Amino acid sequence: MTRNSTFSVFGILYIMELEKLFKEYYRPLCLYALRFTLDTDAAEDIVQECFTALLSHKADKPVPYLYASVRNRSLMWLRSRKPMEELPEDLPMEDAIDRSMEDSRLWDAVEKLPEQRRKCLVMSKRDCMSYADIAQELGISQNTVRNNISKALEALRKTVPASLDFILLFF
Amino acid sequence: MKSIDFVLTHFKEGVFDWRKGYRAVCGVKRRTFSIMPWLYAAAAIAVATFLFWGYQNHTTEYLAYDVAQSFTLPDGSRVELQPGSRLSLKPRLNPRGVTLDGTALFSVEKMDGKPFTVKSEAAYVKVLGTVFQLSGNTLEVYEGKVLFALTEDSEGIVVTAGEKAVIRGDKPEKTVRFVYDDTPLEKVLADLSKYYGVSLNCAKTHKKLTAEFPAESLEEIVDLIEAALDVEIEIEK
Repeated sequence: MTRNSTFSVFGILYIMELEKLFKEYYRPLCLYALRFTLDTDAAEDIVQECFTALLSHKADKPVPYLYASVRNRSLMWLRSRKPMEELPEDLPMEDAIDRSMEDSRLWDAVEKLPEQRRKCLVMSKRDCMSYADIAQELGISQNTVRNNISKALEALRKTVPASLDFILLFF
Repeated sequence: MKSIDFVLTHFKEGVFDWRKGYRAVCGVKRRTFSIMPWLYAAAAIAVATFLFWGYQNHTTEYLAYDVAQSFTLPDGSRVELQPGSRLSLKPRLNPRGVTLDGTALFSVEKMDGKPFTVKSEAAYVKVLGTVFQLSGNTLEVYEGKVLFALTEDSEGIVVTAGEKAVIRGDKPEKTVRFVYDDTPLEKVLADLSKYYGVSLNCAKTHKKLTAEFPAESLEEIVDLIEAALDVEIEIEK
């Protein structure tokens, strides 16, 4: 990237601004893309392409630009991969940004869970494994698995206090 | 789909990391960039320090080439530089600390709690408010009191108005003057014997001497008296 190698004050301000943009919006944008693609690798590729595009045009409002660009590319990707499928429901931009931020905060929280709790939770919810299977896989008791999962959910609930999602999870 | 279900359904470790994304897009390690503002800050501090040091270290020089020159120093003290002498000071760091190379007559303004100091190759002088002359390693005080030493840290002596002192070896020492007005030679020889720690003898002790000389070389003094009174003096060490 030639613009970054220039030794100027503006160059540095630009780089710092760019870093900040990555830090704040990279993960939310990935999760926004994931809502369309349901494929983490594809989502990440799309977001990186959009950032690359941002570097070559100067955008006055980079955040809306990035969201719009991620949305367009995600829809293009969907159409080329799964032309027969119905497109997912489309939120207004502001709601989409809010939702991606919440997804991102939860993703952070899951990442920060202690390793065993995270493994139990992910095996149960993502891989739909039974407590007995998880207990066997990790070499721990079923009771511990149940305990781990409830503690993990407790921690996640603190991240998003106003959410009703958890009630559904505790049926 | 709710956030929690969505995130848990798709969660994968090690993905969606902004640092990896940044590296992938910008193609350079992040560290290279974050170090740059520090480089600039360090450079700015270095320049500022250098400028400040240069400002503080600003030196004023006073010179007298072939005639004596009078100057008023920043603190109001007067100095008369003898030909071929040079005086320097750092007005922003210490306007009352001067360095002398040569001979100069000082008339120092009194300033509460702030002594005036003169450094030279051969001597160090600290005063409050006086008139004195420093020439190489010789000090002459005309008014007030002066602390006289070899360097700033070495032990010094107080020289008062009318006295002269010199650095001998590495110690300051007052110079004594012998003043005689029609004095019997017997007394003169007794004085000198006592001062120099020798025994001086002369056959014609009735003669009287009128003279004034500084206490320097004993041989020179003896020669002087012998010539003046036409006598012969014996020195016994």
